[in-house]
Amino acid sequence: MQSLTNATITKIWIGLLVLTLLEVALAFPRMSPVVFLVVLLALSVGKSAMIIGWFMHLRFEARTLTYVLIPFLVVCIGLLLVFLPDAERLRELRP
Amino acid sequence: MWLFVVSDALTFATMLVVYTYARLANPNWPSPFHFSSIVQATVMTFILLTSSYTMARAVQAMKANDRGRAVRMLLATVGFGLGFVFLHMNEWFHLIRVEHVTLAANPWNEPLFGATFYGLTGLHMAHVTAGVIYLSIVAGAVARGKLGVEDVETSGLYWHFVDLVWMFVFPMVYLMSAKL
Repeated sequence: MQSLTNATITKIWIGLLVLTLLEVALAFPRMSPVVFLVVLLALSVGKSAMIIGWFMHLRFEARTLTYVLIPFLVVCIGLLLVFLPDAERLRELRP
Repeated sequence: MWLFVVSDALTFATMLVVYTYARLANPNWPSPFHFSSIVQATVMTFILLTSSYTMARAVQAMKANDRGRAVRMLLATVGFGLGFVFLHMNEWFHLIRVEHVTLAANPWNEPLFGATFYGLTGLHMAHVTAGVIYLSIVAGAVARGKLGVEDVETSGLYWHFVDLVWMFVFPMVYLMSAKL
């Protein structure tokens, strides 16, 4: 099985710093809150995948661990996100 | 540790969804984070990412049976963690003293802002503080020749998780409420 090297760790770290700078740069142009939220969430999910895969070593563990943990987590978080569109409805209901 | 990480991830996910719900439902949601606050939060993010880097290097050092390097990397991680807590406390004091944001009240009349902000970031800061104590104990034990690769790897899982949570808190809380 492929193993993690110090060079890979350094590349992942630099990648994470660059993605963070990109997030900050995107805060300057005025976007609608919903569009900005979606863009930020996409970048955060990418950064999380890098942290979980390499730093937390999940990429190098038995596949079963990934299949047990990740779908469960995604479904639960997806169920929580179901409520978010209701926030838009509440906003429109305000006098 | 993986089961703890997953269950704790759901706790933070719930708090983040609650914060985002309140943020989207209120057109007058406060934007107290000026340019200097965003710069400070970005530095905090860099510090946490760098602490994850040193933590990963500590695990690698343990795998190479280099305990001295592992201890140095663990102590560097602890140092970055302390730096993060210091900057975060500084941010809180600024919000409380200058912006007058408390748990139940703020100048913008959106009491949910303080409750959700301090609840979410406070829980994260408690995790960082617990991690600093945990890693200090692990570093001490490794220096004395106790604990093995798996133990350091397990403590690393916790620390990377704390970093992972911040990767969502920083954009959702700070960047979404930035006043630039």
